[in-house]
Amino acid sequence: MTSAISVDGLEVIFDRFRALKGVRLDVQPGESFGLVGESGSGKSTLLRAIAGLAPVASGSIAVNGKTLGARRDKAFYREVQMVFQDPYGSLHPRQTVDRLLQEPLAIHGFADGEKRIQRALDEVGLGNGFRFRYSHQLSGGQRQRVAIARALILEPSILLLDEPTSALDASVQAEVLNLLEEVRRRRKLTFLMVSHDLAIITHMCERLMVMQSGEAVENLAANDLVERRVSKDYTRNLLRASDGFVRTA
Amino acid sequence: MSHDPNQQRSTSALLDVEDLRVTFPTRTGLIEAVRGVSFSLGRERLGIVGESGSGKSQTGRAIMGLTPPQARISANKLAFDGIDLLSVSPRERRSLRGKRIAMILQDPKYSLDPVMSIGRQIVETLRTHEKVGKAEARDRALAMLEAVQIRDPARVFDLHPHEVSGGMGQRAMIAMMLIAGPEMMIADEPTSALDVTVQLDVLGILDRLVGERGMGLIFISHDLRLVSSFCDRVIVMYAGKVVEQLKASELGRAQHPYTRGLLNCMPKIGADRHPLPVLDRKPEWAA
Amino acid sequence: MSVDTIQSRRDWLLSERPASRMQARLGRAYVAWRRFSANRLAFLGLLIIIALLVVAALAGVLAPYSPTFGDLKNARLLAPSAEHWFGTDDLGRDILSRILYGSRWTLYVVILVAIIAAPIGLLVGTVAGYAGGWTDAILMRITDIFLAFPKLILALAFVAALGPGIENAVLAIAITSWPPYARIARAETLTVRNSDYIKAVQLMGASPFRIVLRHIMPLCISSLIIRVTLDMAGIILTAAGLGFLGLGAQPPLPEWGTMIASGRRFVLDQWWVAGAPGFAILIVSLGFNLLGDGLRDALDPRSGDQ
Repeated sequence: MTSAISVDGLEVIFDRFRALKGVRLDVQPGESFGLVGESGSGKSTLLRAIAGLAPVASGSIAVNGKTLGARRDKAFYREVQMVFQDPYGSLHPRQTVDRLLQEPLAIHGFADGEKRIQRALDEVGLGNGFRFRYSHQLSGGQRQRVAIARALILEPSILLLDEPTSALDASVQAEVLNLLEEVRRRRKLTFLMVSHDLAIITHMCERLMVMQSGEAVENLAANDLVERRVSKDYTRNLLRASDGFVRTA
Repeated sequence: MSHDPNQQRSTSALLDVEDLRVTFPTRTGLIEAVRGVSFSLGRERLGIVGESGSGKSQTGRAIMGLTPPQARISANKLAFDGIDLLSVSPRERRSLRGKRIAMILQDPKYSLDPVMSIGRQIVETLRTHEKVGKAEARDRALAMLEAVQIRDPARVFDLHPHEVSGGMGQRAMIAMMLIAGPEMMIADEPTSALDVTVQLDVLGILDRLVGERGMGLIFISHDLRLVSSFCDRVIVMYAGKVVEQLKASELGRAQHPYTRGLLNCMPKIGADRHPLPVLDRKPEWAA
Repeated sequence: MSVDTIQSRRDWLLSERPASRMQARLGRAYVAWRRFSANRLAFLGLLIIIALLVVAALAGVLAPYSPTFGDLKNARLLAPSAEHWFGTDDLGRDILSRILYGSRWTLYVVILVAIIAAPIGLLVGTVAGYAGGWTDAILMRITDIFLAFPKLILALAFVAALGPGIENAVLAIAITSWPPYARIARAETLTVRNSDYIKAVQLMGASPFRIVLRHIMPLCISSLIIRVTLDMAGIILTAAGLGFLGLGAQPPLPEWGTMIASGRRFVLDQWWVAGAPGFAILIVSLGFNLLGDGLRDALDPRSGDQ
């Protein structure tokens, strides 16, 4: 079976700074794969490089068996979509929800826009009452739902998730994570999800890769983390940190 | 150390808050950010937990006197060590701030002066509150930087805030806030902008210094689990009100459905719950 | 209209759940209008500009005399009186009539300059800001060259090359006033081009052309409108200056700057000849400035999104 996403020897360089140093990644179709690490580990850069938003210096990226060039074509964007971290920054401040959802349909020339917008809003649990609101009239969770609706409206097979809940309150986070799991099951999507929170990754993903300063530290199954079968100190430190503060007497 | 721990324990509450209200006038009417919050703080670590809009930060700011000028504050009692904070002159309030009450904010990038070296900022803070010579101030600043576990204090002393990492910046911030020897500290999400491993280092430093100096700490955070592992006592806020007060060690026995919901809805390693339980907000919680 | 219907209309406009595209748009406009009309000075500015429009439209009806033919024999340089409110000039023409007709030329200049200069500036600025690299360098160096000369001097040079006349004056002013707009549009573009919402549109597969036109330009337009309005006074003064120097509108056209120029010979004895058009320029410039200030408060994207 061809991989949904296959990355090999990927290097990303921003102004002489090597953000990714030869990273390998293989995500199977229908799988949910997590990327974990602290700030500066390159996990978000890897996601953006796949989306075509980071300058790739060398290495190859293939999506559904097709190797990508420097420029992405329209067909790529119908296969791969992304949800950003900050729901306050990822929606255009002067556009209504309706307009935001119409844009991808207009770009790709869909005729049944009306129906698709209705369906997308229903799917993410926002009724018609939200359709003509501006983003500043929405709460953080509602905005993230709109962002998910926008990503799903082109019916992609792969969703890139860049810390989709880190800006949200815990209770809203639970709702958004549930929504993501639900759409994944219904649409048989492949997820590639970035988070600094090990608990979220083990909850959402089957396999994961731990990253540190632009390199992969280790590849694990979610179960390995649960049973604490990790081989690297760095991962062990992360695991300990996620248990919360422990007072050393 | 300047304080005798036995004497501190015996004195009554450091901070007394009774029926605190903070109201913001807006175009569409009044918004009550804090609606009748009461609690008292001794020389202990008190956590205030809540989600965005719960009024937790406005509570901290009201105690500090950092509420925006258009807002109205009222309280039956808002007393720090017997001093009524609502009736003191702005000048006295300013001198309390920094000298006896300190505050740490979320992001050191915005709370440190970008054009002044870290060392100078600490020295300035010390010299506004105490009459000390330049050389002595410098020595004490260096000692303080060492106390927050900065390995090379002399080097960091001359650095500017943008030249240090987030964790280092937050340590410098703590050093600056503790230099004048305050008796109470308000920390508003002090580690939310930091990586998890750095977060624990900073909390460890904070914990040790607060313990050693017998200070009262108000730790404001959205992270219930973190707060309960760090504090002695926890106040849970919802929609501007306190819904529950309990000992951190008894968090598992929380009564209020909001507190329990908040604890439950977070994913945990090893807990296989699909879908996650979500919070079913009841209007009567806010009533 | 009863109080109830007004109230329900306001609720409809301010609804948090607009039911249609129209309602959302009207609601947004209404909020901006409320912010604008709360500012009294800005409202005064708006009234002045509306008065200017009305006067320009109805000059033929309002003016008591012909703007171009005077009574050379009996009515030269008469002081203001009940017959000639603002007096007459050296050719016996009624100054009030000339000022009323002159408002048309003022509007003509201002509107044409805005229509020519603002879109050029917007296009150059957004394209330079979004494309970056060489495109940016070349476009902005051209902008810098224009900015390096004082506006009036550059306009003078253009008019000298193109020949005097009001059309050429408009062209010259337009050519010299777009660079600041390009700067503003570029600065605005740079702040939004790396935002996630622009990245999101890129990820939809939108072409750079579409992104600039449909997503970036709308964000730059409000600050541009503000700037253009504030510049209106300067444009009127430059046009008047060119007219004064004999390079703008040519006599007998009743253009305000040209009128001041011809009145300067008698400015000490017959002050009203130059004074009246000067006062008109002052009032209209003030109107545009007040309007611009008000728009800044009402439209400025930085003052919150509400």
